[in-house]
Amino acid sequence: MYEIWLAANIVWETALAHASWTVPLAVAFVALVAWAIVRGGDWRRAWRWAWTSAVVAFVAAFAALPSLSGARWSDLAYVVDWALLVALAAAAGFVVGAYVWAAAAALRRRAAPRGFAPARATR
Amino acid sequence: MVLRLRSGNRRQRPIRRGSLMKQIEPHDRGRRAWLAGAAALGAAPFAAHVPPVRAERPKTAARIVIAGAGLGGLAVANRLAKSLDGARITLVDAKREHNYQPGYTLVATGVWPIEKVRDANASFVPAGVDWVQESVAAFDPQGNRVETAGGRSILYDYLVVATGLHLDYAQIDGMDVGAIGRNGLGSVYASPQAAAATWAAMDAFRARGGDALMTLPSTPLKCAGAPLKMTFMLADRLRRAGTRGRSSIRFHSALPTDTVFGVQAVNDNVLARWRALGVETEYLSKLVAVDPGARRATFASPEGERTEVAYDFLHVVPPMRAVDAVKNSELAWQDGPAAPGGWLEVDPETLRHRRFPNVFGIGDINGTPRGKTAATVKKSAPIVAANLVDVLAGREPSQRFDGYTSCPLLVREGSAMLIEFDYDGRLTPTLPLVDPLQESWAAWVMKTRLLKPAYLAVLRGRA
Repeated sequence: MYEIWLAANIVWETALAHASWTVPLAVAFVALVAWAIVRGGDWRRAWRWAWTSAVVAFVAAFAALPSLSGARWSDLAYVVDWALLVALAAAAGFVVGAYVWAAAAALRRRAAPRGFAPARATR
Repeated sequence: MVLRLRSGNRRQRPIRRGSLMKQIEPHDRGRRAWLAGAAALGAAPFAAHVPPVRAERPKTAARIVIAGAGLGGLAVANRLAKSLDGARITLVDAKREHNYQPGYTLVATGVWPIEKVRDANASFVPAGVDWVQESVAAFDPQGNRVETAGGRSILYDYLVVATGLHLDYAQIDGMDVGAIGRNGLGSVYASPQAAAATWAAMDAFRARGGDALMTLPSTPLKCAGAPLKMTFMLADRLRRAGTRGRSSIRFHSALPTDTVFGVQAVNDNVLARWRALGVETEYLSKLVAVDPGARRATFASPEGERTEVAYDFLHVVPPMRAVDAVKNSELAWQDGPAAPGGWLEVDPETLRHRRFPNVFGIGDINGTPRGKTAATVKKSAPIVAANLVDVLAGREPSQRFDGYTSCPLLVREGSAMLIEFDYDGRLTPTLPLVDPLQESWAAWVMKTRLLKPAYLAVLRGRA
């Protein structure tokens, strides 16, 4: 339990230290979700975009994180290194996937229910 | 000593310290019930780590002085401010800048910019705490009084000594802290500026190579792993620059043969790694003088035999001792191994002073068997705060410190060992399946990315 509490604090302090971009990102995400809800976005169809982008982000993060941290692939010599890399890449994939899901849902409205036809203009 | 303590709806009335327990008993019962509940839910480790933050805050008018606004002082100040209702907490420290000292080795080896270890103390002082921006000049534990350098006299009911330690560069003839960064002179400990200057000297040295001397005194050290990290990282910097082949690295330890670190398993592991890296070692060899202009260092054996050695890069680790205000007071150890350094005489488990029961110590100043690191403060700050609340309530201290400390030992850029141990030198890994002597990228990420946010959470009294 303490480790979970400590991890939550680490995430919070990290976000606080980079507030110049984490706060706008969080606001943008909330705005995207709100926009998608108001527009009646198609969350189900947006799902595949979310998955695709999450996988792309996962692969990109997996490939880039070691060198971004000043390490070489040969430095990942222990099982915990690979576990951490997978966890960090998964977190990156999750975040990107969430944004893309909200954005794609906002851009695609739900299809009208069957049997429903918009009223034609009449003279 | 008469204290005034408010409890619940009762009228204020002065009572003797020994009878405070009766006043706070309802709170104590609540705390015990809370602990029992937490344990039943399997949350005992969490409960053990964060005891002072409770829904019920004991009311007290006690005067608590915290001497020192480093990690230990601020962490305890934040915890006490949250734990107590009405306590008059005074923080005494002239230093306005807060430095993330665990990051100095990263600055001194070119991994971090200096800005990452600099902050303002004002950002971390909790609301309601009075900050006297002067340094402590003297302690008078008989009179329950602290004197500041500006001549102020501050009375206390309870004192937390968190002054940190003194870097005794003066014990090295010719050593000039202002010269760090020039003529191949480095020293990671003195300040953020010294750490950055050390990197400038190391950077220039790695470009051309030459003879490097690394040093280690025999006194207790803050972050005793730092001299080892600097040695590992220097070897890595030379190797990456392609100048390792025309360079030598010689580590002068003032400790006995085959000793560079106090934990045997770590010591042996480090020496094996250095043999593989071609790092040479000298023992019982104490740096006693340096001539920065001529780039010559003088080492002395225990018998007093002096040897002068030329260098192209020298890393100076100063002898360390208690600050004068503690060393020259009755608070210091009067005999035993901690007496020569003037360290604070605290019980190693409760961190309460052994002779003055209203005094506690935290951090580097403590005369405990080992552990002068931020990790030690992380584990001991909740214990000191909880034990002080216990004593304020007339109880015996309920929390015990096992001496936990941690040293993320950098072995090269991109890899480190996460070493954790206790007073007895037993390795105590937090993650039981992870071998602490196995180098890993995960430990490097932890050191460079995760420990500073954790440190900030400790500073704010949350973790």
